[in-house]
Amino acid sequence: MEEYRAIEQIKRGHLDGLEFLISKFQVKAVQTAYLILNDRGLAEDIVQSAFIKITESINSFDTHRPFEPWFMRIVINSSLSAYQGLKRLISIDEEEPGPLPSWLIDSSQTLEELVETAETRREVLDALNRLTIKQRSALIMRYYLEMSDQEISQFFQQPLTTTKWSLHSAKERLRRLLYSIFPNKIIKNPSPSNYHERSYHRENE
Amino acid sequence: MKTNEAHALFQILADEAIPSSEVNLWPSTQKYFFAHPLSVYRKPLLHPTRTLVISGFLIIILAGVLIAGPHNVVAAIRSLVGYLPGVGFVQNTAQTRILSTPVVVERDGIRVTIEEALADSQQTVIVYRIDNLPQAEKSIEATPPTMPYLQLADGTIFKVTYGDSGGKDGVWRERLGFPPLPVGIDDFRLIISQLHDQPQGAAPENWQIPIHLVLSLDNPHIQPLIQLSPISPTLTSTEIQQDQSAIVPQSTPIPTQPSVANEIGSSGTKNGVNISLGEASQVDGQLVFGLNLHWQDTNWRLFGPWGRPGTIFAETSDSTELLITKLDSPMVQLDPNRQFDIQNFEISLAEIQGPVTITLQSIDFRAKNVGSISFNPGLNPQAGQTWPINQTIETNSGKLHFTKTQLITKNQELSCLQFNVEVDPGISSVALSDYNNFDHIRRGNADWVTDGSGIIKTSICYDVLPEGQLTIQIDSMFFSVQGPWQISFNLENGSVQPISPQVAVQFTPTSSELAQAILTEIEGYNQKTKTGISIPGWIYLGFNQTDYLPPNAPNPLPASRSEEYWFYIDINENIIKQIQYLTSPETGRILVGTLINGELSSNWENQIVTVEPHPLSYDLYLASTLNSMLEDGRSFEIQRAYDKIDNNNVIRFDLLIPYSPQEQSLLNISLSGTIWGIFEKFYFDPQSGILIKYEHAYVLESGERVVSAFTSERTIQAVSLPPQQVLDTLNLKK
Repeated sequence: MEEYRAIEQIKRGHLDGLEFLISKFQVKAVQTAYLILNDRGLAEDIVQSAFIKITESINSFDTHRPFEPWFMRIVINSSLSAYQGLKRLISIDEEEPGPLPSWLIDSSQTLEELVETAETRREVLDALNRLTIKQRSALIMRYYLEMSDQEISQFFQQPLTTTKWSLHSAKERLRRLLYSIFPNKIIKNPSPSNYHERSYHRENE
Repeated sequence: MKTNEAHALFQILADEAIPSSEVNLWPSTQKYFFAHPLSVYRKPLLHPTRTLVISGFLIIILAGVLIAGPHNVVAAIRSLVGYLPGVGFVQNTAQTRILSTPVVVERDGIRVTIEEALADSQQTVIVYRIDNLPQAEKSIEATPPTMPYLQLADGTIFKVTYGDSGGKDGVWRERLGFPPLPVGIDDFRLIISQLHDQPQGAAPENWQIPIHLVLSLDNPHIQPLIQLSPISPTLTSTEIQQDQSAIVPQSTPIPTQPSVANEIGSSGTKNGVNISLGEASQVDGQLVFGLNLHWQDTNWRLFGPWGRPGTIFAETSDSTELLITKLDSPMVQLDPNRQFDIQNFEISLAEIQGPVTITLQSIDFRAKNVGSISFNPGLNPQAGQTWPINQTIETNSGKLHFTKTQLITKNQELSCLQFNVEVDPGISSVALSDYNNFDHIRRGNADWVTDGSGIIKTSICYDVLPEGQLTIQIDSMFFSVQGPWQISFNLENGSVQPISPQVAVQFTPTSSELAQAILTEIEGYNQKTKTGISIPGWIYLGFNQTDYLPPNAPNPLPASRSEEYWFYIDINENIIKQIQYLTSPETGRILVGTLINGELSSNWENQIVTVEPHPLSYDLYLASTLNSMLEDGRSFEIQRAYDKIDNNNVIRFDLLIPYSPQEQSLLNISLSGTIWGIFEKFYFDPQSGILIKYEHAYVLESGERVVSAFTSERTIQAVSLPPQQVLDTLNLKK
């Protein structure tokens, strides 16, 4: 079954169309909400509510447009609202990122090594959670959902230049994170730091 | 850094935290829509009174998966050959299986009764009701994590494909459809993880209810069809043509809907709608018949159940009004385009004298996406600010004129645009949406106009009011299409005679001579059973027991169980030692009670009572009961029949005993009618003389029998010594 057919079915009141959409998008949606919120139960609640919401409002959807971006935007929006509701932040934009753990900076582990144990995977997630919610969401949209800068700009309803700058700063931070994960693969210098030298040396060893 | 590397990192982290195999939001989401049906769940947009009416005892949801094109509808209807009360018109073929008797399971005061079950080549239907359901607030969190499902002995699961449900005052009834069961599968379980709308832990969970089906042809429960003779339609073709040209949209293609304007048994088309006569049957003195509803506009959806009291009438040719009651609708989704629906109704046969005319006054529909308006609130709009709109939308069902809108803030969180809409008569409400700013819509609200005032206030709320030009869509328009539509029919040439609405119990007292002869035979079986038992000595008695109705006990044993007894019989044929074990899915095998030294200790009730030495009844007191009734001169009916169990010949005695008024007054059981008496079946193995099977049923005054208990695989045998476990238990008790 194609998405548009499923949506048409829902519009006619057939829930099997919804079952198809849930089976196809639930994992990615829950994972997205989880990466933003770091709370599995809340992530599942948000995605279920999103499915209910889109079903209630399915007639607002143009079947000629792709479903997934529309739905994922609702999931991210709901996740951000939930995050604010949790009062984990006073203000998204004013939040200062916390320091990265030293093991990340000094690590010479490869990706495979780094994510080999549950403990290090947990620490990578913790590091991600030290980004601002907006940085984290932007990175998730950019790299996990693979949305374009334009789409992210539209989502945050801000000029493209602002989005690019936000994404750049988030990428810088991610670059630092990923540098310690990919010390042998990242050549370009994440500025400002002394990582370049380390990277350079490693590349020439 | 490369994008694909970052993506891989996120994917690993996400998969680690949320394995795809562990995500399954469908069951709980499906359950949500089960409780909040798709067609009516836009609660914020409904008038509360309207919502109440719609969510009354029977809320229809249509989530069908058995799809048939409109051209198949007629064929599908024609194939229905019987009426099963509670289920509807169904196939009744050699492969159709149904429930022979209701199944009752009770836990913590909550009773689940399987009222009907059907399996045929197209579907499996289970109808059950829940009594004494605790009141719980509806919410997503409170909904069960999984829908009820069927489980076969080999573990195969059948999920719900469609259904309807409804209830009030602690009673909830569900009618669920499942895929067809394999031929030959007659035993399975209905699994209910959590009862309707009960939060986790609030009520007993994980109900597993065994269901056994029997061939429907061996059971007269499915009523045959009867023929009704339609009388010519009410509308003339001229009326119909004028009517269609005035109201029915000309642009809507109707490729599969044949003209039924002059068809006998049809009302003729009026305002794009017609009704026609469906199948008919008779059940308990009622004429049960289906009415088919067709409509022409593909954009219309039925809104709520049709044929409600006040919108449908039945009368005889002399204008005597008949009570017409709506029963049910087919479980099968007949038309994916939603231009066809069926409802079944009933009228008392006793009241039908001559032709009957059914009049349907009006039907409620909902039209989707009938148009849009646009306006620009400008920069920095203020609460209370008003904008003129003056835009009109012409629809197939009437006209909407948007006069103005006003910005209203609610709770300092929502910015709502409230529109004034002048509507044509018949239009009840208008729901709005804004597709371009969908993510910012929080809710809407709309008046429900039923008094013909013609002005509706309808609003749409945003978390933040969008800037610039707004395009507001008319997401749904609710309206009533006026008839009347009429059909008339006669009972077919007297083929169905009106019958008494209440069927009396068929009771013919047995003569004392015949009863005495039967008693002698039964006493002979008891004597056979005792043959080979050494006295004094040990006896083993075992059987399987199913209680369909809850026994009148404060702490009844599990409804479905196996019981084992070891008795020590003394020289006077009295039981002086007894050990009882019970095995059930809920308890496993447990010690229930011991009798020693005249003290009966109940581990189940946790109490000790003193009992006098007494003999073992081999026939569940059948012989002694007959003896007493013969001595008292009491009327009863007993019949002897040959029967088979597992291909072995057995002798069956059917005993029908009316309750005396005093006995009736002592009854502590509530059934659907007044209890007339009891009906019991005793199955004896003529070779061993052992009573091997037993059924107990209550008989209602209507003649209906309600089975309350069932005992099977009953065995009695002498043993030299009971198992060591029994001896150890007795020694411990000493």
